[in-house]
Amino acid sequence: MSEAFRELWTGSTMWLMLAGVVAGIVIGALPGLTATMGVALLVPFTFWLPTLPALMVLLGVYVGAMYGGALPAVLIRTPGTPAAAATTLDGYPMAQAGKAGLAIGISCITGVVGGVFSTLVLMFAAPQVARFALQFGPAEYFALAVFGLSVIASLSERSLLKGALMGACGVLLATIGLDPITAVPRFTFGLPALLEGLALVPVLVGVFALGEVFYQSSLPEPDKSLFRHLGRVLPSRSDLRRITLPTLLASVTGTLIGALPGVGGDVAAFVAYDQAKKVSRRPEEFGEGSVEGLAAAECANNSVTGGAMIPMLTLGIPGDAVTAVILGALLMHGVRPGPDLFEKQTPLLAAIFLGLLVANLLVLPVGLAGAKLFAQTVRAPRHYLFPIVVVLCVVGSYALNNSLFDVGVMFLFGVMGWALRRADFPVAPLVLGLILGRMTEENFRRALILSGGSWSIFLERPLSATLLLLAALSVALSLRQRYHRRKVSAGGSA
Amino acid sequence: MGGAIVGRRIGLLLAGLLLLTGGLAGCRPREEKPFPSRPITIVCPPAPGGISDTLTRALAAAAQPEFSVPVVVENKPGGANAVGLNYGAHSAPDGYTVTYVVAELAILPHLGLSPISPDDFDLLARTNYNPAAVTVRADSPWRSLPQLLEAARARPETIRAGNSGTGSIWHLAAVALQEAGGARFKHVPFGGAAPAVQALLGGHVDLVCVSPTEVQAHVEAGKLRMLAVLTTQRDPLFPDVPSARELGYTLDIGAWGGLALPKGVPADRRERLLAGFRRAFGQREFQQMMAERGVRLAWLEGEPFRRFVQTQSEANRRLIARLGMNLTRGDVGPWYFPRLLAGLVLTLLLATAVVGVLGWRSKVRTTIRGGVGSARYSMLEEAEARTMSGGAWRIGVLSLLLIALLPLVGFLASCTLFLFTAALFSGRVRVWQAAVYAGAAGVGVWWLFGSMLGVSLP
Repeated sequence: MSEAFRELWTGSTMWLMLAGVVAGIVIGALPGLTATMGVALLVPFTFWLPTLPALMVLLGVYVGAMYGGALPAVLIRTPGTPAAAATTLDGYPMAQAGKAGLAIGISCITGVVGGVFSTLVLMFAAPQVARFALQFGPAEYFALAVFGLSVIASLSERSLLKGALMGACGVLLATIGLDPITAVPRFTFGLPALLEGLALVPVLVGVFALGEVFYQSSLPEPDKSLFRHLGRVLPSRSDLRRITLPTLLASVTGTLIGALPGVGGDVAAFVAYDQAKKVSRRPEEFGEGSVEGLAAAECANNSVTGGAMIPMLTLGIPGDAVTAVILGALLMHGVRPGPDLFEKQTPLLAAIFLGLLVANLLVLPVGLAGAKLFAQTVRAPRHYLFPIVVVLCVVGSYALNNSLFDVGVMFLFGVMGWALRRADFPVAPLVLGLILGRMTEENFRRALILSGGSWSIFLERPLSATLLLLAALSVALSLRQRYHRRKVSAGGSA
Repeated sequence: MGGAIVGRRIGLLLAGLLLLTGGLAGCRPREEKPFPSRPITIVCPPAPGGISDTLTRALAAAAQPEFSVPVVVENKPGGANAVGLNYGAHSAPDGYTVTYVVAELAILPHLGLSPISPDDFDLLARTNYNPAAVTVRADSPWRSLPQLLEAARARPETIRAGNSGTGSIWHLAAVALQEAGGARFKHVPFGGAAPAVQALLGGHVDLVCVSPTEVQAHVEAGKLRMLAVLTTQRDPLFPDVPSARELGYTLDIGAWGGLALPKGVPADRRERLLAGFRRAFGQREFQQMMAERGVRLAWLEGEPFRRFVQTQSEANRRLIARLGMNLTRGDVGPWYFPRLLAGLVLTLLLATAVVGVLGWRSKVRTTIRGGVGSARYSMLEEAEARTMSGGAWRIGVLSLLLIALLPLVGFLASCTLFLFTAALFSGRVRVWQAAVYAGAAGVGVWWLFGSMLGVSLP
């Protein structure tokens, strides 16, 4: 460990890592440039570096991008990466109420807490967590997806019916493309671009960012006097008290979900958001700018980083798309992750641990120093800000796959986002349905193939049964919370 | 008021000028320089990070000095590689676009998924061939391929074979194996080779037929056992594992990749490309990097490569024809979920409409409730929004124009024009302000994405 530390502490490695973190924040902050793409873009440049510094750059980008995604989510309601979709729910309303600096500060601090927590889990419990992750077969993945969908109940603040409708539409949209089991094309209208289904980034960018631009363009310019305390970045003591519990919960949730291959930060953030709402004393603030909701979402998507490294390093199976690219880079440098790497406890492994830890800690000064500056964005007059947002939406959705088709999808969902907003339909359930739809269907059918068509497989397997029970419980709790709030507010206004 | 109209006219004039300059910048005079005189693009259909991506990027780096121009890789992922193959086959036949064709080229046409077939390409050379290998868990009772096939014959459709997707090369490998051994597996499709291997490790399936590279770490760690490679020779990574031919099965199935051009590239350019890539392929650094990564390089050019692809395609066609006959038991079919959801959506829509009509009168009460944030949704502002919805229309129509112009005049011109008009139409800025703003922001975004991040903008 000390050897690894010395090697890491050599000046140039640290600088490279810092550069990686900054580059990651920029890439994450630009819509359409995901963490995956950022890391993939940088892999060729690391061929000429020795293994350790190369790895440090990539880890820096990964961690930086996870935080960077929050910036546009808070400031202009554009999730920079899919994992920041849940961040828009409370981060953007906070910025609209003149607390942009605070929102960025909280994102940064809770993100670092989550990242550090998950790295510690990676260091001390990786083999155990990996064994747990392997127990997830098709039935368990299906149950987890249902559990994820149960979050819709708490995202549908004003009308459960509308939320459920939007969620069902999201899952239906997810069935576009090649059927995952029989490879039959569905709803593709003969377009090859639709065979893979709707790409998530253009939909997210359209429905959140472009839809918001359209919506806000019809409203009068907001009162700028709200923005006097824009520069306040550090949370107050009472803020800290409020976010402690959600942050801790989200760290655990994010790490575990991250450790499951194929489930990423987007799901983790929504699940953590729901948990925070359930334990909160002020659930009514969620969706209107709750510090707790923001903390949970941001903490969860950052704690996915360490979690996703667990199956990658212990089993050689990447936990998400980013770690898949990092795995490729490791192989290029002659490192073969897998059970061997972990059992031998090589200095390289120690260096990865330390690197991840330091990359997370580097986000803190960089993020906090930048927060004041970034927060000024909301001060920009709308006739200057909005056209740039539109251009970013267009370029971002194009950049993902170099595809003009995706730009069209983005525009379509932008119009839809605006129409839904006008009709007071919540868009978050739609997005969640789209994120989870494929996972739900695919694993449902895969499990039935394994069981020969018997549905009892979902209840016979203990882990799957537990998750389904939790999903039912989660919906019940959300309904109870709603009912109580209704009663209170009805009593208050009467 | 009059001033505003004049301002707008000037704005439109300026916009037209901008458009013109953008268009002029786009078409330069014809070049008569020796080939290649500008960057060569390799279209790589698979997403970044995988073996195909690694190989093309390493090959591109090695080829750069051969051609003395940049060689760039452009990923075009989607639709089981159909998107990228389609794109490559229809690119301009000037030799500046090379496509990395993959095994799916010989599969997709038989699945009826894509009209692109090997005949749509001018095939240059194969670069790699990774055979399929049968792998089981180390604690499974089967120690050899004949034992496994014996068990599968005794109890058909009980042994679960994980594959990387219906119609994928590893699915066809498992089907070819069962055909050769007269057995039947239960085929379980996953979203790729890695999830299938993960399911094998977790005990959710019993075997996988994927490349040796994809299971190497686990075989070496003693968690998995490789029974055979489904080809004619042993794999250099695993010299102790028998080949299918040694065991008496005539099988030769694996994933391959190679370089191809769209039809109609002039012969001299074709020869230049082939020679350049051949030399790049032979570089020791490239060979070594691929060996470390477990990629089995297998150069095959000209007529033998074309014959190889034809044989693969024919074998795949036969396998897929068999495949169609035994649908997987237990599967609810591709339309079960869409129907279920469509029903749900309709029911909910109906319910929402009913509740909406019933709750019309109580709306006033519910909208007044709530704290600071929900005030934004109050009826008052809603009415105001309706009167002001012109703003939304304006920026909406302008964005649509931007998207329509993007492929025609390129990114820089269309975005600058959009920024300019959008700022101007807000009615709050002067013409010069809008022009400065549009120039700065347009070039800024273009510089950030195009130059810094290497996104190839139109």
